[in-house]
Amino acid sequence: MSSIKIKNVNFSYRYYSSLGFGLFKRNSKVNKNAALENVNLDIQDGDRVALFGRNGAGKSTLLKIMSGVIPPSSGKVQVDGKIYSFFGRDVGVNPFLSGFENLYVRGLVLGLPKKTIEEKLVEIAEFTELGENLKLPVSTYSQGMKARLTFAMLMFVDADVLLVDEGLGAGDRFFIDKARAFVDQLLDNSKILIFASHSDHLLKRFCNKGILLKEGKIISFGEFDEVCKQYQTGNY
Amino acid sequence: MYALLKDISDSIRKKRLWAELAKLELKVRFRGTYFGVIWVLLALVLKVGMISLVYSLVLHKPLKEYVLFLSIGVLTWNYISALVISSTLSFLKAVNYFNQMSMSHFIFVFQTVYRETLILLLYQLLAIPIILVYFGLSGVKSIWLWSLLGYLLIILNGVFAGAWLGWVATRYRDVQHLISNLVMILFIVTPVLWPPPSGYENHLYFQLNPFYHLLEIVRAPIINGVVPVLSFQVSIGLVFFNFLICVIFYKKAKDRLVLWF
Repeated sequence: MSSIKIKNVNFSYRYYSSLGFGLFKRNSKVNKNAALENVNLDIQDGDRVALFGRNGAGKSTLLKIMSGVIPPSSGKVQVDGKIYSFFGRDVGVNPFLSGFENLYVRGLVLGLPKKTIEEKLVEIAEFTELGENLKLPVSTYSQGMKARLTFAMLMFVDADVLLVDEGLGAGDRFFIDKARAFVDQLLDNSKILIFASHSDHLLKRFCNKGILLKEGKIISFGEFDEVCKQYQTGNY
Repeated sequence: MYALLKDISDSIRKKRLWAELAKLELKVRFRGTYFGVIWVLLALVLKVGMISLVYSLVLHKPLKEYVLFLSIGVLTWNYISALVISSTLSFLKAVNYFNQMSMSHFIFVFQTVYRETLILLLYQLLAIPIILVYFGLSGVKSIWLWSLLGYLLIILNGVFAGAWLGWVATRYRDVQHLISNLVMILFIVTPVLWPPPSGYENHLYFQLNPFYHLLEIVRAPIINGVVPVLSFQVSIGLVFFNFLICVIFYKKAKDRLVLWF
């Protein structure tokens, strides 16, 4: 059983307007920029939720709050189940290390045993069709290969709650189909996916529910098609 | 304090991660070079060689004796200063990890300390032959084990001071520049290249410098064959001091570190 419960969550980014960066209290006016306002959510097993919203609507902040990367300024976040978060395209990839080394570190970050990682690496090499290229430094990769490597990092998943910010639109058309099949198999009914992307097409493929955000507030939360329609009309 | 101890024990449990990160970091640093990680040793040999030629003249010391004094001093100083300077980057370099998921802070502190300790072990390839040539096999003394304890105290200080330095340097970026300049000045005023002039060993100028004591706990047992009791006391005191600062700072840094990047 996994779930995400969010109650009255507020979050604001604070930054200092002066060069003193708050070192000298007198001239350091702290500016606040509310990124999330009074957010309430109750997400249950099997919900695959798409996050809709324009740039700066608070999608990434919401994901970061759920993953525990940033604590809410006020309110409560309760996540039951093991979380796997996956934000941005180059997730901690060191370009000077080989694909294998990068993947190995990723496995260690997740705390997987050595044997599991090595087994997964064989599987990943085959799935991503990167094969021998995985031995080369990532700096030599083409964009498509990098995208495949990034997706490969997702293959270590051993979690109940998946939080994804962009990053699934990897590689060429053939690979996307393959990746989709993999994610489908990954997301059995006991899992939660929260997925933020600007590609409605991708969201539609993976999600059954939707959340629409505007200026840090939740406008609507419901069935995918309704929320998607609302987002596309722009009247909200 | 409980939260801090939990962070530390969680991080220790991830030892495979920080050990691997440290090794890969060294690999990247020397990638494409012919000598690879041996450069660490070559740099030390060059430093000790050049300095001892000139300074044994300047200080009127017998070359053999001075090489021994200098090599142990320089490699220990290199270790301490590298710990201090690179600690300011421990968290800044890990920004990608912190932005991805919630992570224990000390993983990256251990990464820094482990990396520098690997380098320290490489340094021993120079130090051990020099010591053996100077004293001979029959001259090996059990009192030298105190130097190992000395290194252990430096490591503990490196962990706790490294953690709070890392937080402060992430919050206030000026600290990184301040520290690298300070360490350079400290190198000049700390007896690394020269022993304290005779009669001045107990001068407050040296006794108030914590780095002098950290050097002495490694250097004195080998070179003078004595246990520098005061220096050990100061170093143990420093461990507690740095731990206390960690306890105080961790409360602030725990949740906010990611917002400081």
